[in-house]
Amino acid sequence: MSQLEKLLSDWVLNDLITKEQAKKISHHEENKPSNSWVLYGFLILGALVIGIGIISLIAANWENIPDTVKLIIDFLLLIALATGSYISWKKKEHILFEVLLISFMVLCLASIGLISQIYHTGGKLYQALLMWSVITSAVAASSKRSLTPFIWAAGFFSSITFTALDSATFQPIFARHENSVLMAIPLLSALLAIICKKISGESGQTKSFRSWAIIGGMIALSAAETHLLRYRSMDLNIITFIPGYVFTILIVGGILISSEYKKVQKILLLLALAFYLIPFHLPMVPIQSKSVYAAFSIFTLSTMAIFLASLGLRGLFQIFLIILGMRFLVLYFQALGGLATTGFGLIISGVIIISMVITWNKYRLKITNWAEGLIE
Amino acid sequence: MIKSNKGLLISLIIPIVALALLVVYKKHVLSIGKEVILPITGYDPRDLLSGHYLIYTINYGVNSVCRGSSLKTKRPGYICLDYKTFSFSRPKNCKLYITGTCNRNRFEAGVERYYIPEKEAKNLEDLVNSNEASIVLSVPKNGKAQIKDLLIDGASWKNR
Repeated sequence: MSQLEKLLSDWVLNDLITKEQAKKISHHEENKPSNSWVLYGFLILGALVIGIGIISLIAANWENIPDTVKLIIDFLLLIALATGSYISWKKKEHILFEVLLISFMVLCLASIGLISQIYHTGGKLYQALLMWSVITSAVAASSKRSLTPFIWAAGFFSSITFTALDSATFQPIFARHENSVLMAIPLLSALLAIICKKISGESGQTKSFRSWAIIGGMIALSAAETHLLRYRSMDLNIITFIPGYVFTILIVGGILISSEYKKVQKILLLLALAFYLIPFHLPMVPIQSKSVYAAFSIFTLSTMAIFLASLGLRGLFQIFLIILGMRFLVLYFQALGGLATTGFGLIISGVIIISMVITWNKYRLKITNWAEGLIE
Repeated sequence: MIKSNKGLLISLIIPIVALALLVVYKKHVLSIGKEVILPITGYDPRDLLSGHYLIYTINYGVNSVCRGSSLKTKRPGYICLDYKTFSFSRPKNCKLYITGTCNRNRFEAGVERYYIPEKEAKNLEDLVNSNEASIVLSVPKNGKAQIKDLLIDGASWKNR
């Protein structure tokens, strides 16, 4: 008996639904197309394996294949994948379209590698990624799902981060100011999410930029906490913050002109933005301590969690709450680090962790409902 | 975001055209650039081979390359092959120069890596270590050099 059948018979037994309704639900679930995400994931995995196989085949026979033939094969594959993507789009075969699109993007990156090998270009990986993200940006914009733009954004953000930190043009400016770069990247991602939302609504591109804004924000805050404590005010170069400030101004503009948020929601977002920015500037003021950094991380996470709850985004709200809980746990270890190394301290730590999990599990729904009602 | 057939078609054509242009550009540089042969030595003699490519140091025959550049920051640098001089600004009155970057007193022009077939790797490493090795570069007017060939005792490694 499947899990669904067990549940249905339980609900029928408890008079929650009728036998007729149970039959209808069972029929509906049985005739539903299989979970496309699982299918999509395996198809992409398959496509990537085939891609790697082709690349390995070419690499293994490197010396036996003339350069021109290698390039012809590569371009023929690119054209075939592009044609396949276009045909599947027209036939509305969405999953096949996404698989071919992502394979096309992977092959574009492999092609840069191939050209680099044939012409002995001594470039760095981030330079290849930067070129790849520029030439495939419109391809990522064609996707109807989140995964393709998510992968593209990963390449794009990592390439601009390393361009800022390693290229001869920007390295002299940003050397030893990694935190300014890390601060700016999530802001750029948030700005792109706002632009995508304006153009295409809740699309895959909007979701992936929003995800990277959150992931990048967490990384940047963690880096600020662990790294900036060593800095003194004179070490900070305000010029390195300019890209971040420009993105912030544009984000603030985007929030203020947005018609979908209430006034309180806009204030929450602006507060979260301010709390996010402050830790990166703390070395400028003489209040350098772990707890101050921790406080601003907690403020940022809390305001963002309340904002997400007010939008009814329960999943994201709960993720933020879990991160918040973890942050509190880290704070505990930071404050009582010495205690945690003792047997007594470990017992207390274990009790705190178990209590947090039990409390969370028991009051999850209540907390969510409470947070959702805060703005009303 | 892109919803029209035309938009999708253009977005798929852009990378193919861009990659084709990259190949054309590389071929163009090889054909129009001035050919220069420069001796090479192992960057690290114990580890000349790195994966499927040789990494080496090019002897430009210029003293004090990248001298005075900061150890921490990168800086554009130029080697004038006409007068065998180095400068941090684009050299005037020099027709043949190589554009690169000074990275911790090391001049990098993007031509310090030569890809080789896996089977030939060890053999080629030994040849480079035990013979006179040099690199053939094609240097266009903008100084962005490109590798043409690897020579062992004056002959292309492919003919050995």
